[in-house]
Amino acid sequence: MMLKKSAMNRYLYVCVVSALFFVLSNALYVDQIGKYDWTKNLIGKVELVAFDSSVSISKNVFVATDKNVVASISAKNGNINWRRTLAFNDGKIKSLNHVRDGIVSVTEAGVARVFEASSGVTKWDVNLAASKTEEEFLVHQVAVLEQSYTEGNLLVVLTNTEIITASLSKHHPKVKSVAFDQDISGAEYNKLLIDSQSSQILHFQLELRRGISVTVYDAKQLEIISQANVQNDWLATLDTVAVLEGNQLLYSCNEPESEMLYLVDFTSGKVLNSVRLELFDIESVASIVSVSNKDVTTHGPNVLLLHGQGKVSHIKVDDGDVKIGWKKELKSLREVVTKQLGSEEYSFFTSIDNQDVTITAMSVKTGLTDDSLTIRYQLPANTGEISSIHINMFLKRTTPIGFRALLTTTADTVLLVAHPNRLAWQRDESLASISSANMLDLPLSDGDAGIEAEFEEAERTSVPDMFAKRVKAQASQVVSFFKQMAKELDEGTLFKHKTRDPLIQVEGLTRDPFSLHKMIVVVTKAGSLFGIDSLNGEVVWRYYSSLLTDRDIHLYVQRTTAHFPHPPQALILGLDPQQQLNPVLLELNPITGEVEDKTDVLGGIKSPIMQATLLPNPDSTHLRPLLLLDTDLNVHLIPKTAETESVLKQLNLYLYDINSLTGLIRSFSIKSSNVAKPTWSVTVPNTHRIIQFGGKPSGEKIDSLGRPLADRSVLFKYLNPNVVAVLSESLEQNVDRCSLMLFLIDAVTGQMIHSIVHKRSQGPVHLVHSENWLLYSYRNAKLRRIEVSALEMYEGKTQFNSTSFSSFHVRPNPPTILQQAYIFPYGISSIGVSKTEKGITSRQILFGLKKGSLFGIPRKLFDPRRSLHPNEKHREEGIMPYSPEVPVPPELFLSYNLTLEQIDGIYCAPSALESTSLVFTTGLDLFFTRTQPSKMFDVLKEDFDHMFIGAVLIGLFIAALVTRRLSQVKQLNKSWR
Amino acid sequence: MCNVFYLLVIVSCVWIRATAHESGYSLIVEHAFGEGEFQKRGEILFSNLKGDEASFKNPVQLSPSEVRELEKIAKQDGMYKIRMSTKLQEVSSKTEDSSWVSTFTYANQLLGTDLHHALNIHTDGLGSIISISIVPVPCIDCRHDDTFDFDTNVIVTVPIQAQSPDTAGFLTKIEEEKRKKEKQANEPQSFFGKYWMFIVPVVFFMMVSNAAQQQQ
Amino acid sequence: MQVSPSGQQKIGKRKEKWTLDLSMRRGEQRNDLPSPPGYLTEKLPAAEVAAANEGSHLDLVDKRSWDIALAPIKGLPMNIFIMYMAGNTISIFPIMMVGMMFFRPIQALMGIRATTRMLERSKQYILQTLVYFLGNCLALGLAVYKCNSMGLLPTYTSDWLAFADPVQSMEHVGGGFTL
Repeated sequence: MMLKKSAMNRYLYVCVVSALFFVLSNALYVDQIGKYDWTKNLIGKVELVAFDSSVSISKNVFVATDKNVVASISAKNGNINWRRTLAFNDGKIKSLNHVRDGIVSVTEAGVARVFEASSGVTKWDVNLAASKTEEEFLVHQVAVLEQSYTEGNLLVVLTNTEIITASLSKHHPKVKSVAFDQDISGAEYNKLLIDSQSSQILHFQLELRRGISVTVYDAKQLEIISQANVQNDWLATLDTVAVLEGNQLLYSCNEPESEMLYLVDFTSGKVLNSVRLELFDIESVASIVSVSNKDVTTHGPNVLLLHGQGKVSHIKVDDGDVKIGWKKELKSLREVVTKQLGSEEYSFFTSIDNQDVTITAMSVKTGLTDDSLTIRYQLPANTGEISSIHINMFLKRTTPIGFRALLTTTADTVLLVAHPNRLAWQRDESLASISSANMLDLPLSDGDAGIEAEFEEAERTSVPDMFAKRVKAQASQVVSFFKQMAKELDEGTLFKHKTRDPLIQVEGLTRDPFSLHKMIVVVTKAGSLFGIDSLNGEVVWRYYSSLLTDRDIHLYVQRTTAHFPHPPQALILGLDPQQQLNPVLLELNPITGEVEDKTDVLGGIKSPIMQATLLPNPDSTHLRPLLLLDTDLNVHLIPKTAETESVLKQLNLYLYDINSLTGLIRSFSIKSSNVAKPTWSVTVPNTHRIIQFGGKPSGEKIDSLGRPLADRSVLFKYLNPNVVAVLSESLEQNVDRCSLMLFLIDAVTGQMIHSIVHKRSQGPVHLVHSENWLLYSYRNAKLRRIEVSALEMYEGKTQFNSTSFSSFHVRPNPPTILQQAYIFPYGISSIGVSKTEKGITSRQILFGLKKGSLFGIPRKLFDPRRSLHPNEKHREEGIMPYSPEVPVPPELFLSYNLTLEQIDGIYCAPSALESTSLVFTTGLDLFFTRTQPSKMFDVLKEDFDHMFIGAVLIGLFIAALVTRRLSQVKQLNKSWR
Repeated sequence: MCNVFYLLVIVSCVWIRATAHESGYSLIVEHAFGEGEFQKRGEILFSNLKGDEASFKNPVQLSPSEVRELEKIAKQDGMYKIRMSTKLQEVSSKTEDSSWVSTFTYANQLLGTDLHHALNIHTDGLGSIISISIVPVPCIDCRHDDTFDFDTNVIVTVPIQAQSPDTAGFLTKIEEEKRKKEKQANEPQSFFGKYWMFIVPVVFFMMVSNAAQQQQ
Repeated sequence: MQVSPSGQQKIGKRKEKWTLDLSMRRGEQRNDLPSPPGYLTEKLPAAEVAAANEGSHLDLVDKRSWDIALAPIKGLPMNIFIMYMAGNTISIFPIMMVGMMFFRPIQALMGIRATTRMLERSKQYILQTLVYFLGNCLALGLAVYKCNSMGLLPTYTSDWLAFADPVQSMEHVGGGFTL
């Protein structure tokens, strides 16, 4: 007995001690990754392309994009092999070459890097502008001189002041440079070529009205070998100049009465030969095309002259003689490129006719081509027009060559097309520059839609009829439910999850009961619109129109899918940033992607549009009208009906306009659809400029009107829906004198509710404004750290008016403003806040960190009432003691171990579950996930043991019955004794 | 002779000081009824260059026709607008640029408080005007006669300094706690000192049970 | 160890049973046992006894009724002490005590009919019922006071905060940066 007791004691002791070590974890489990979140890695708009030149048919394509990303894309399926983001301080990437050592990239600011081609690891980097200041140094052209393995390749860079060479082979590259006598003119008047056989660097510089000056340098010593001037006074562009083998230069003159072709030796400047163009039946030459390789040894004696409309003539220079070869004429010729590989030299002619692209390869020597050398491809709809074409030529066994074309379009889509018209893959890179995103509920399923349809005719049918209809509808639903179950039993999928997300069990694009499946409608800066399925990130529909290129696009959702049978509707407003072109209006169904052009509705608008806003109240079809205000203060309603005008009359609408260029904030009172009356105006000091503003989200549900304090009284929140926060930054760059100012302005009366100045601080500022609080991040320039400031507004212990709020009510005291600041240890690129349907769940602030993570922290950490020395009252209210730094524990990263580059937008949407808020981040990567700031309190957890609990319950119930019966029998027997 | 000279110097200094409070600058205030033109209403005199204090100077009296117009506009639910120039020199009357800050109130609210209102001017403390707003203030202890005179109370506010993260306070708090802990650890703790709260109830219970036993 | 007279006849057929037959059939009289000392078989005239005891009887009834009427009030000090010991926190013991303290007066008030019937016989029964009623109400009041000191009664603004309607805004605002 004693032994048993001691063993039990020890067991109890172990239990208790181990219980002390359990710590509640907020993080995800490993098997939850990927269930309800997805991520899409993008690279950005492709600008420079280099094919893998180590093999004939490239397996990888190396690209450099406008987001300063160097990436390797698999040529087979378009997936990213690796991706490197370069810092924006280094400038845009100017050149990309694939050489033996790897991928060489040179940025505008002169930073050269070499990446390993297979993995993207930086092999070395060097700052070529080490001794110069930023303004002076500008890289114009780059070439790589390929030498033998022992000598190593040489990187040659032409800048505005000098030619720099860097050796690529050793670990610490030797950088040499030779300066020019004066700064050279623009990049288009200079050409840099290399000669790998004789290790020479050739620099051609066009001086208008003087001629071309050609300088030949020795690549190893950077000494001038020869310098010559080719005199002429008419040459205006280097397009009509071509470099041939044997130190020869061919250029044409288009001056009337002297259309000629000149052949010149550029080491001496002597004219070797000149031919009149009329002899070849050519009027005037538009451009001369030779091999596009920068190495002169690959340039042969052949060039192509482009003249007239699509006419091409082949010219061969033979021993000083300029002879004409074949001639061709092609329709809608867009571009000609000549490539050389081994002994084959082919020219690629691209013709574009609407959406049809035809790329023909012709041998330069003979001018022959055939079907196996032609790609005819039709661009898919809504991918834009072609903006650039890159050809990858490779040698084949049967035909002399084969080729593939990488096309980039104006909608930032990248496509790889192979012979004869096969699309290998397509990447929508405009998703890397999203300007705004909306998450919309999906439409109801057919069954639910049927139920809703009954209510349509509610007034006309009598009660028993409606009852009968309802019974019929539900009976049919029951029947279809059983049929579905039978089908699933047959297939064996009854208990299998339909989607990978355990909470979404409805297939297809219909709304699930928890409304977690959304349609994400995305507007990109390139002018294309996408509808993305929130379950897996696939693009459901896309739209691109040339009307929307180069315009600021704004999306307004007028009606969601909540009002069956009215279809959802959104308006797209495209405005010209220069305000010269007329605005464009399109009507979009955000679920199906159908677009209708409604620009004629804007016909009555003569002056540029200044402001646009959706009215908060809908009309009888649940459509929220869009209100446009132009610079002449005319008001336009879309749609313009008597009903929408009466909706406007009932609202007291005040529209504010913040002009960041002039620093003026104005407001207008709009009581009818005729004219807007200016009401108030506010200006920021002229040493400041406005950088950020934040209004409250419209239609926000606020859960409680105040905060209960420890003594059971209530501190009422100052819930003014008309408050706008405006932040301005000083124009000073000096650390000691720069400042940030925050103004809280009531947008109806123009009163300044509060204003704060942050000395020695500067932007960039990210702001979140909701309910009665404000949170913004800024940079403390003096102490070089990021700080986050939280502000809350309270009315006091009593409510001034508990029924309605009007900004014109004169309050006896101004609202109490509490403010506190904290240090944030990481750089912030974006801030968002979670949103739920009823506002009951505590809010979570989401920070997009510059290091590539999405971090979520409860807002009660940013409570300005936190104090250094908390007393009883603070503890009772649950206020944490103040600590100046914001803790960033990695288990609160919503993006667990992923790296999301360049997060610039965080969008949150409520779902039907009060505990869950959906989060979508944009930037270079797209990421979608769910967040539950107060844990999941309204749904049973995933691994809830239904079977076990049910079995135990039933078992115990049966056991209870059985034992009851047994005990009854036993008692009866006992009483019979 | 020297004395007179010194006296003159002192008097002139005093005179300069006396008028020094009149230095500063004044900005024009204009008002408009409804959609009418803006007319001069007075000037706001700022007593120093920082723009901390201000008072209303040279107010214009309301003529009876203006009073009638104000009442008419009040019946139509119209606005009474006020604007103040932000620049010292003469400005044109365009409202599009930042040389004016303006505000408004509804005329019937203004008449409802018998033209008693407060003008809240917000400057940045370095001389720039940011905003102006007019708030009709119901006043309790003033005469309600038929003279329609503007009764203005000018209040100037400047932005307040933001609080920065209180690292100094936090560090002192941490140091204090460390010191307290060290002191506690150093103090020799006797056995009785640590465990008195356990010993006393035990003794108490023993005494009670003894007494109960004895009673029995 | 009695053998019943009727059983003697069957002695030959049945075995001897050592039983005590305690059942009295109707009309039968027991005449085998002597009666205990002081027991009289005749009935006494009731009226004499009643007349003799009426005075003390009434006094007794009165006293008894007063006891019943004052019972709740007598219990108040003990209840106060119990409440003081239970404490002001919200945990199972105080809640049980408060519940019990609520239940007892309410039960008593529900059964006030039966109590009035008990008290009917005494002279001051109106006063006594009133005192009883008041006593129970005081006990109920004590329970309510205890609830209040535990913080369970919604007497403060923060208790009604959840039922406050959202405030309607009279003006609407829109706008942003110049498009």
